[in-house]
Amino acid sequence: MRTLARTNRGHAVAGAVLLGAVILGILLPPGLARAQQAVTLDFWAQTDSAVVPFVDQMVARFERENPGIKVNTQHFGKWTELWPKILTAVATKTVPDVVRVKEIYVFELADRGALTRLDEFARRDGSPKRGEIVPALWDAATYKGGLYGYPQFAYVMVFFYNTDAFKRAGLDPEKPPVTWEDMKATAKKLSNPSENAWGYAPYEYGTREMVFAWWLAHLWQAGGEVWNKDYSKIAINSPEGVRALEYLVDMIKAKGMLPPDTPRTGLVESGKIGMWQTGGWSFPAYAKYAPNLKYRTALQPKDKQHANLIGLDVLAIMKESRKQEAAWKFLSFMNSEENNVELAAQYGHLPVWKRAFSKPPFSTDPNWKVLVDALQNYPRVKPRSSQWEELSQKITPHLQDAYFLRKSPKEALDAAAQDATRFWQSIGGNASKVADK
Amino acid sequence: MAPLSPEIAVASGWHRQAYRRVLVGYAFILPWVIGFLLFKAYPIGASFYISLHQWDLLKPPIYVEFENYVRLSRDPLFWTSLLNTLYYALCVPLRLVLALALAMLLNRSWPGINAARALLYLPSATPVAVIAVVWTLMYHPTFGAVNTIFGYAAIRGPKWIASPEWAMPALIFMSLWYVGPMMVIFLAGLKGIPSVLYEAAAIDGASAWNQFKNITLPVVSPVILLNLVMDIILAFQVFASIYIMTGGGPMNRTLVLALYIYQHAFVWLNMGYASALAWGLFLLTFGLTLAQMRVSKRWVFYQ
Repeated sequence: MRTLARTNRGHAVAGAVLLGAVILGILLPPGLARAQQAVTLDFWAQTDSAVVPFVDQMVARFERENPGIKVNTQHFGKWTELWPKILTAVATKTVPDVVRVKEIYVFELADRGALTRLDEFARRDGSPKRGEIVPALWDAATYKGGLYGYPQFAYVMVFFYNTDAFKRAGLDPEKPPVTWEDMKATAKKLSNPSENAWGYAPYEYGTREMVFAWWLAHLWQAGGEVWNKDYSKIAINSPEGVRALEYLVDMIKAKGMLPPDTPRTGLVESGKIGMWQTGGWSFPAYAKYAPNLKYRTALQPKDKQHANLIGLDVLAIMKESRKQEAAWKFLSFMNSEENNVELAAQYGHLPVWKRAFSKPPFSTDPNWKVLVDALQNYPRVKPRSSQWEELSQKITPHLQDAYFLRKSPKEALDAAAQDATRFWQSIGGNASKVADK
Repeated sequence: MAPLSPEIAVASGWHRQAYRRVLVGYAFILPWVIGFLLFKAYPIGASFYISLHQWDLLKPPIYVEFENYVRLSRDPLFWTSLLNTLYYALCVPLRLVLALALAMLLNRSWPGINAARALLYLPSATPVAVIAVVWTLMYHPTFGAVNTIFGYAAIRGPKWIASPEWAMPALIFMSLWYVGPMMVIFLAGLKGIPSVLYEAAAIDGASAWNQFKNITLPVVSPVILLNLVMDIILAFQVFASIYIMTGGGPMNRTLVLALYIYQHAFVWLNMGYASALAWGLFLLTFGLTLAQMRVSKRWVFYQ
């Protein structure tokens, strides 16, 4: 009995020592590594896969020019992966130092006090100045008058068309449709449903926030607005809104537009779509994955007016980060005029510096020039509000009802406006919770 | 091993040894207990506490009593997701039948039967994300493998996960991929049936179907109950494959409860409401399990 007890005890001791060694082995190395570095910045960014190498190269250049600062980049392929991670990080106080976020996230994070206000840094360094940056973009990075993100790229959603498809249908590739009426006619001509070829394909269907966002361009083209004058109600079921939805539903009914139950994957690249909605970020993707696709860009067709959805990406510093100075250095480097222009071209986005538009490729390539035109002359930046994601997703299922032809546009929009207004009012929505221009 | 008399017990230190043995026993289960308390019991308790609040992770929580539960009962999407979850759970009987059938097939001692067992189990060892992505490609209405094969038989396949009507059936069919673990458990159960029963039945002239109905099924019925209960719990919690393949669409037709909870928690930051939804799911699963155990007394045969 005694020997057995001693053996048991021996086993217990051995087990404890082993466990202790394993734990030490896991915890020590990163701890030691951290202690040796001067400053390490954690940088979380959404990066399209085609662009990852360029971002890494630029980060490496920053490290070379700033010995003593190391940057740990984490790339996320999708915003939907990055956003929950940022939120959990803020809640658990394990935030990264620098994040690349969209304008709607800037609003939501600043609203919750999670971002560092950058005005002091900008004033001290003399850059960036509001006058040097496209005004609509600067405003999109502000919250209640303070700058919370260093504007990085403008993404512009316009209208792409396949020049080969145009030629095959006997249309002039130099004359894309300009008005909604033109558009409906052209879409019909380019469609061939039995071969799964469609005249027009919207950006995406589904219930994601983007589905509401791309439809907004049409609402604005018809002269409508999301909110009513005092921002107390959602007003998308106005006559303009109904007109904007009918325009698309009519195209679906006439079989000129990709129906919602047909996935768009692969159809654009294989030339089955005549015209489609996307933005400059598709340039690098097509160059890599569809080199034979011959396309041109154009402003989205107008109804009452032209309107193209504009968004903004920024680099922001998290308030809880303990390396604010180093983070600011990193922001200034990545978004300096030169570097911004270089990286923007790789991303397929527009740089934010006004002077950059007079440089190639933005000034020379016809596809880029359309984006610049849209940004400078017909921009409508996406509205930023509290809980924009949830608000949009109260609306998108009703839009789906209309696209699936289950409800008329008027019924669908009435239901959407009702749901959205109820939600908006339940969160105390008013003018102070929106940045709409 | 109790000693012969109390005097010997005290003299030989038996009580002390027994006490120590009990301590050692507790020490051995301590890691599991700590893990359970930290990673299961505490989060479950915390989740109930959170469900009584409104919390967006970034601002402090606001106590709202049972408001979240009231909201839950009035939320049309909650009922939609509940119905969708029950619809998806139709995959459970399909999986049970398939698992049992495969197990019976594999309950032989043919040469290469071990390789066959491994091969049939292999699909379940593949990560869900991989399966989901591959099936998304296969279900593509134009370029996907499924419709291409249908095309060879001159059938025009439906739009599968892009169509509101066919999305859930498509997901249910895909879930048959994961019968591996159930099949293995059934196999173990089948091996516990003494072959003398079959021999006796064969001598008495029982047909194969009769043998199955009156020998196999009753003896294996506890295993069926086990697999049924576990699989229903799993089916109610399905998330990853649906999140990747349809995201709940089209038109919220594949929005199951677990996915709806995820949306409220991590897309819209309604932690309180999401916790209330989670408790709704828990109570539903718990209630259903209890009901199954009650009903099982009627059809499960214990030897």
